[in-house]
This record gives sequence, structure tokens and C-alpha cells, in this order.
Amino acid sequence: MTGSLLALILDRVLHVAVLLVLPPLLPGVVNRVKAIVAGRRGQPILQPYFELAKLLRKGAVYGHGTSWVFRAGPVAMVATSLVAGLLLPLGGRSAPLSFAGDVVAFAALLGLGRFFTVAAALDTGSSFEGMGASREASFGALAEPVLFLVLALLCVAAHGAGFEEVLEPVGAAAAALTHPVLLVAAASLFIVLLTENSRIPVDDPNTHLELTMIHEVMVLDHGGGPDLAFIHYGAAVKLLPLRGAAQPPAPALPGGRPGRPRACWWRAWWGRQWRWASPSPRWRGSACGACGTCWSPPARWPRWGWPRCCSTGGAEMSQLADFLLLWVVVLGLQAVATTRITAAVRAVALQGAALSFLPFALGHHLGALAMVLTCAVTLALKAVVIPLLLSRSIRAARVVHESEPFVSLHVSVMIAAGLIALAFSIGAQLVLPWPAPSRLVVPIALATLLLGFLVIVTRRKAVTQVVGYLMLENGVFIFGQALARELPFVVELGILLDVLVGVFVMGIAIHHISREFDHIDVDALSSLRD
Amino acid sequence: MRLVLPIALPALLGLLAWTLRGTRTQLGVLLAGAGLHLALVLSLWWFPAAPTALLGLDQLGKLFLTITSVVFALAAAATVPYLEGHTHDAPSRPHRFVPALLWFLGAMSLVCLAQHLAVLWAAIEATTLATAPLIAYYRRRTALEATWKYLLLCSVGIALALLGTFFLGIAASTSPAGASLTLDGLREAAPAMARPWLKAAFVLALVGYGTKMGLVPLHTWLPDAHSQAPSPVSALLSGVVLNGAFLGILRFHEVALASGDAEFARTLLVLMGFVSIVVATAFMVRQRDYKRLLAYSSVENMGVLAVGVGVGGLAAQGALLHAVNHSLAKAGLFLLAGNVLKAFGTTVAADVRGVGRRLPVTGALMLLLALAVGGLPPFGPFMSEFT
Repeated sequence: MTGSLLALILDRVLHVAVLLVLPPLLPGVVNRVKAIVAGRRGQPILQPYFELAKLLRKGAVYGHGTSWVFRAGPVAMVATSLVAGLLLPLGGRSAPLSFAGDVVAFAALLGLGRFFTVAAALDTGSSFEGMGASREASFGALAEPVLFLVLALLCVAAHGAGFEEVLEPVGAAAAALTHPVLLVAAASLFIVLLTENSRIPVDDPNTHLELTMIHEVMVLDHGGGPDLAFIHYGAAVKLLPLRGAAQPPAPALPGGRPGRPRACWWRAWWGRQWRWASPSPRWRGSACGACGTCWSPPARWPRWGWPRCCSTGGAEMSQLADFLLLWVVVLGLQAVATTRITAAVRAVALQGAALSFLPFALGHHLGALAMVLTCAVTLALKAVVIPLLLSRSIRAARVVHESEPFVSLHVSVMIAAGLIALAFSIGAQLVLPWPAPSRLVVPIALATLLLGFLVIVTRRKAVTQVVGYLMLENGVFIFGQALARELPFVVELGILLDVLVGVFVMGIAIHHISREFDHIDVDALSSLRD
Repeated sequence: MRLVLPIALPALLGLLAWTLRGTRTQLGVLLAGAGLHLALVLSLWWFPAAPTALLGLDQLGKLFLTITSVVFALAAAATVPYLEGHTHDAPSRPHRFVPALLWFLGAMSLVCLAQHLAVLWAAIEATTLATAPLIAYYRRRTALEATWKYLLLCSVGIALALLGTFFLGIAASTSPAGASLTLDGLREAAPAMARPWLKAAFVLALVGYGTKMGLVPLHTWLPDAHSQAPSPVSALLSGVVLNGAFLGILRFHEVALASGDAEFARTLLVLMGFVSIVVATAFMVRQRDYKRLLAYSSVENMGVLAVGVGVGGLAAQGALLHAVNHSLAKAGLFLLAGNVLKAFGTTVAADVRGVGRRLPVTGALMLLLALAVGGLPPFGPFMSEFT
């Protein structure tokens, strides 16, 4: 009895000690790796410790206009990060603090820390800090719901509400969700982590330039001294738990083995440091490939490009269909969220490319030749010819950016998310009368339709309205695929040709409008009214 | 086989006209095409042709095809002065006009002949695309604005109608007759269709094709397009294109009727029809531009058609008669308005004075046709509206 109690106390003490001492090591490793990759020798790995010691020895200068909020900011940041770290199990052991629903507490603590940082920044009354604060708040408004949703997803998968259950590598629970959905969740979580920790491409942690950065702007006025030490320490502490939270998708993937041998964990931990430090977040190297707990999807992908689906053979096609449809909706979101018109055109082109493989994925029993022909023609028209026509129009009209859409970008992304949720809820009512290979067909078709409408209605440039029209047609096309048996190939070809000619004629109209008006803002096309 | 001719002939002649350059030759091709088409259609009345898998001429199609042919012949005849250059605005690409007109005729014939709903959709979209360059003929700012509104609104609307078509196919697959998008197959499958899909399909088709037909609140492109286009094109738009969209709605209505559950369909049609009549009349009163006035009158008459079909029975027959009357009268009015425009150079009604003296024939005919469109006896529209 005393033996296990002693072990428990030792365990807790070790956890707290690791939490207090380890964080500054992480930025040290990151900076060293970045330097080596850039061809320099780099600072010592323990440099952050030395910096913290130096800062703690300095005195502090506070502006006259600041209040207790300014002084509380850094302290709150460290406190919330430390408590959040206490909630998270590290190293395969249980956390010192754990209760049902602690995932919510985790996210709430991070939010509280952000609140105090922002409040401290606003307290100075400086315009630079105010700008950084507003950016931090708006990024937080986007990142926090995502974090919540991903954590909720993992809780649903693990049938639990606490980190204990979520981080346990339960293979059976993971099989309840389809593989592509977990991929998307992991990708979203990765992006949230980049945002929260102020990593490239969201923020540059090494500079304190005001006009381009987010987090670093806010700490500008916490001039030298213990406050800055607290801020750096707090940021490092935040890095640790959030990185710990990035582990769940790995054991949940099929192929993850339960349990984590300790030696492997250590090696895997160093491997992840390497990945985090790399200047380009897209670079994935896996130092350890032995156990399946490292997050290394590329190693799993067979050479023809789509992820290996779970071992039940017949489910492969539905996995492919799910994957394609999820890709379609993500591309739709990208088209809504960008102001660069060429990026929107590319997103719609990729959507068309994904859709051209849909007949194959939905398992239609056309003849092999008819199938190949359909896919080839759809691919050629939707992914090549139509985007080429649009690019020509864009170049002729000499537009690059969608200037000031009627609804701001943040708001339109949130509306888009709402529309996707609406589409899924309507899709639950409209059930296809036959068992479709994928449950996502109807909801995602409706979602693409609604996103197309959103783009048409909220955008100012005529070319972007054509992009919205193409997304609308893509959504309708997905529905048409559900009926492919009854649509003779000639008719499908006719529909595709109609869309092609439609885009062609719209392109010509845009060309004339841009020549006559010198712009293609549909906002200005309003002289005819009653 | 003979059914393909009304479609293929104008399409090929359009291709021919595309390659020609001289105005006289193009006009010759246009008039020849119009005349041949009329002859073909009349021959189909006396010597019916056998239907094929995708094409067939039922009574409804025959009626609308005849209207199309007659109005097109009138408009073609009126195009002559436009291409000769005697208009008050300078056109920019006269040699694109005739091919677009001929392709429009081919597409419209396909609308009337289609027995497969997806073919119908493709044909209606083709008419949209064929008429868009015709509206933008003068390249004025207002004309381009009208063209853009027309293109975008009608394409989006028609995309919704395509979704409705697919929904109907899905609904049909729930019945033992199997999924098929041909009209016969749908009529067979109708009684056993899943009601939610059927209703959703009808609503989408009504909204979609209703955009093209000019039912309120989807009519916003109509006054602009019909008033900015050259007069023969306005005549075609009001007299033919709106009918084509109406035919689309009628096909869906047929399926709804065959399913035995048509109450919701009728209610929706009557509702939208009434709203169209009221709103269009309200807007008509404040119009100062006589071409826009005529366009709003088209909206109102489309509302009457919708109400007629919605009520059903004798009213439905009256509605079809009204379609004929309205097409002829409105086309005539637009062509006469073209004469007035040519003579006076302005579309503002207040500035046009003394038509009776300068253009006596035009003036008299306009008065007669205006009375006709207004629904006064003893003209045709009175009978049809009364019914």
C-alpha cells in the first residue's frame, strides 16, 4: 500500500518537475535545429535557460498608464499554461489532475491565458499592441472552436470525456471513425498548434516586428526584466502541453499498437522535436519508424497516392469516396477563404478533378471503357479546360485580388462553416433511397452547393462569381453521380458541355465589361434599377 | 429522324452563317432558316413523326414549337433593318448576330422536342447562352450590365432546376418502375415516388425554371434584359424564351399531377403567379421607359399563366391559349417599339410624342396590340384570361 502510494507521489512529483523544468529546452532545440538546417552552428541548446536567468536579474519598467492588468498578464499566462500542463498526461502516465471533461478545462485554460495576454496588451494603450491584440483575438476566435471540435471528435471516438480515455491508444474505438476524417482532424489540429504557438507561417517567434506579427507585437511593451522572462517561459510551457495534445491522432490510426515502450517514446519524442523545428512545417521526417505511435502518414501511403484504408477490403471504395468528398468540401472552404482569385480558381479546378474520380469511387457498374471515358472527359473539362478559360479572363481583366468582398473574409469563413453544418443536418433528413457507398454524398453535395451560393452572393468581382457558379455546378454534379445509371453518357456529356460553353460565354461577357467599364466590380453594375 | 431536323437545320445554318461575312448573305441565310423551320413545323402538324428515345413531339411541345417558329419568322423579318445598320445605336459585331439567332432557334426547338428532362435542361441552358450575346449586341454599359445579370441569374437558376431534375430521378428510383428521366418513365413511376424527394424536386424546378420564366421574386433580370436588347431580340425573349421555361415547369407539373399528390404544386404555382401579377402591375405603373413597361407586362402575363396552370382544368387550357396570344401580341409590340425607337431615338415614353402622325401604321397597331395585351375584348387575351 505504502509502496504504491509512494510510487504515486513520486510519479506526480516527476510530472510536475518535468513540467517546470523541461519547457525552455524545447525552444532551445528548435532554434538549434533551425540554425543547423540553415548552415550555421547555432546557439547552445540550453540558451533559453541562460536567457531566463538573465532576464530575471533585471529590473522592470512600467508605463504610467498601465494598471495591475499589465502586470498580471505574464503571470496569468504562465499560471494557466502550467495548470493546463498538469491536466495532460505525459509519457504514457496519468496526469496529476484528471476528471471527466478535463479536455474542456484544458481548452478553457488556454483561452484564459490568451485573454490575459490580450488584456495586458490593450492595457498599455499603445496602438501597436492594440493591433497585435486584435489580431490575436481574431485568430483565437478561429482557432479555439477548431480545438474544441477536434477534442470533441476524439472524445467521441474514444467514448470518453477526459484525457485519460482520449490518449489511450484504443484501436477499437478508432475504427469507429473513418480514416479520412481523422486525417482532416489531425491536419486541423496541426494548424491550430501552429497558430497557438506563434509558429511560421502564422507568426515568426524570432522577430518582434510590429506590423507583420501577432503574438510578438503584444509583448513588445513588456520591456526586459522578469515580465519578459515569464512570457518566454509561459510560451515554452504552452508549447509542451499542446504538443502533447498532438499525440492522440497517432494511436487512433489503424495500425497503432497499444502501449508505448518507454525507450521508443524517448526516440519518438526526439523525432518530433526534429519535425517541429524544421523551417517548413510540411517537412515530415520520422526519426523512429518502429512503433506506430509516431505521426508519419507519408510512410503509410502507397505509391498511387491515396491513403491505405482499413483492412476490410470492401470498405476501401467507401474510404476513397469519403476521402474525395472530404477533399471537395475542404477545397470549397479554401475557395471561400481566399482573396486571391487564382487560388479560388485552382481550388475549384481541384474540386473538379476530385469529382471526376467519384464515379469510380461510388462503384458504378458501367463498362470499363465507359467509366474511363466519363472520368477522362470530366477531368479534362472540369479540371483543365474551364480553369484555363477562367485564367484567360482573369489575365484579360487584369485582376488579382478580390478587393473588399461584401462580407469580410473572417465572417464569410464562419458563415461557410455554418452552411456546412446546415448541409449536414439537411442531409440527415434527405436520405438516399438506396444504400450509397458513402454516407457523405448528400451532405457534401448540399454543402458545396451552399458554398457556391455564398461565393456568388458575397463577392464583388465578376470572375469570382463565375467561380461560385462552378462550385454550384460541382455540387449539383455530385448529386448527378448518385444517379449515374439513369443518365446516359451522351446526356452527361451534354450537361458538361453546357457548363463549358456557359463559362466561355461568361468569360466573353467579363471581357467586354472590363473593356467598357475598366473594372469588373459587379457592385458598380447597378444603373438599371426601378 | 424527322424530329431532329428542326434542331439540326438551324444549328447547321448558324454554322454556315458564322463563316459568311456579307450582311446580305447572312440575312438570306437567316430568312431561309426561318422559312424552312416554319415549313417543317407545319408539316409536323399534318404528318406526325415517330418519337425516339430522347425526342418526341407531344401536343404541348407541338403548340410551343409552332409559337416559336411563327414568332421567330416575324422577328427574322424585322431583323433586316437592324443588320442594314439603320438603327440609332452602332452595333459592334453584326456578323455574330445571325448565327446566334439561328442557334437560339435550334436550342428552342430542342426544348420543345425534348422528352428526357436532362435534355430539356441542356436545351434551356443553351437558349440562355445563345441569347446572351444577342442582348449585349450594342455593347452599351447598360446592355452589358443587363447581360451579366441575365447570364448569372439564369445560369444559377437553371443549375437549381438541374438539381430538381436529379431529385426527381432519385424520387423515381424509389418506385418499382425504376429510375428514368424520360417523361413517360416519370409519369409511370409518379404514383409510387417518395414524396419528400418529389416535393423538393418540384420546388427546385419551380424556383429554377421560374427564374428563367420571370416569376417574382426571381424576375429581376427580366426588365433589364428585355429593355436593353435590340427589339427583335426582345420580341424573341418575351415571346419564346419565357414560354420555354414555362414548358419546363409544365413538364414537372405533369409528373406531380401523375403522382396524384399535386396540391402543393398547385398552391405554389397559384401563389407565385398572384405575387407576380401584383408586383409587376405595381412596377408597371411607375415606368417611364416604354420597353421596360412591356417587359413588366411580360412578367405579369407569366403570372397569369402560372395561376392558370395552378388552378387547373379549364383554366389550364385557358393558360395555354393565353401563352399563344401573349407571345404574338408581345412580340408584335416589341417589334413596333423598335420602329418607334428607330424613329425617335429614345426609349423614354414622355419624349415620344406624335407617333400617330409620324408613324401612323405603327401607332395604330401599337394601340391595338396594347389593348390586346391589356386583356380587352374582342382580342384573344381577353378570352384566355377570362377562361
